[in-house]
Amino acid sequence: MDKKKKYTEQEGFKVPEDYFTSFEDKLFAGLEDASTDAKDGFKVPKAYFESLEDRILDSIDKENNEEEVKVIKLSSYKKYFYASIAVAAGLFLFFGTDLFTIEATVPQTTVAEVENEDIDSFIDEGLLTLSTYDISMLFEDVNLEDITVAPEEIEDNALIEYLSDKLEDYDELIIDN
Amino acid sequence: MISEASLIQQLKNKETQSKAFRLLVGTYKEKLYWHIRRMVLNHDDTDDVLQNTFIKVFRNIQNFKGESALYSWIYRIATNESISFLNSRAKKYGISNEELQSKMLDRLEADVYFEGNDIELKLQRAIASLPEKQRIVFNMKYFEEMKYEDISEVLDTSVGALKASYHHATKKIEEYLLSN
Repeated sequence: MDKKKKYTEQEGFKVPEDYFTSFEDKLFAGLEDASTDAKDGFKVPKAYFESLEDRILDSIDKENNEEEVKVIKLSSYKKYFYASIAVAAGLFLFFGTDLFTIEATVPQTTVAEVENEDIDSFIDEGLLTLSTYDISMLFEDVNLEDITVAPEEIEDNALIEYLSDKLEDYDELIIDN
Repeated sequence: MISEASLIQQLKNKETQSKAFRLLVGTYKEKLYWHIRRMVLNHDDTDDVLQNTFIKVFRNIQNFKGESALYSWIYRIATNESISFLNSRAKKYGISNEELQSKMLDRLEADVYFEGNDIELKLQRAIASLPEKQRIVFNMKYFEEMKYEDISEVLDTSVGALKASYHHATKKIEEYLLSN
């Protein structure tokens, strides 16, 4: 019996040609690819750090391009969004909650019936498409220092507790160093 | 070697920005990678957070006033990005941050990019049992071997408070390791 054949074809199972001759090379190449650096058990894919600069600069270029398109699109949308909010708020203030019942068909919903929790969950579920960036664009000519918030009514501890509970995006805290 | 002041100036200048940013990434990528990795544990998540960190550095460099070292500022962004990432993950799964830590550790055992032995895994479990702030302080001091003064700048916490945090963290880890 051909010895070579014995080891490459056994009981109907076949092995690609030269599989065993190049096995060591492929195995060690694979092991090298799997990881290089390791710290306390944590490994990093091979060449990860070598290509990192290029990938980050590519991401920045892509983001810059996308942002240019996004700003144009949202600015036109924003006008309608805030205009409608302003009109609704104006009517609401003018007529009062009792008169401002929308007698439309189904569903019969009034502004007063919309719970704050529903508005919160609407925002929490990501249905409000405006980002912090869009909102900041809207108020870019407003200086934060000019806004008075009656600080005596807000205790420091309450503010810290609120921020640690609610704040997820830390961008606002790192813009200024 | 370029001075920090000169690097900042080049980063703020449109013409030299790209080259300077490449230099910045090259200088800090590994340190920041390990800083983030110890918080989020998984390689792919670390990669996402690291990229976001550098993108935020790039976007906000014009606002950097040099009131702290550039290094501290970048570390602060990386820390905040990691915390944000963990919070949003916990919220996405509808679980607490403590439950998320436990879930992440269960996954770590099957992670192809983790080859730690039983002791290393046990240490990670002990670290995960710490409150967030103590966990960050412990990682920065124990693994990254940062000075208290540098950690103080990054976390905006006094050196005294950091020493107390580290002391409590080591005690808790010791207790965990002895009782498990």
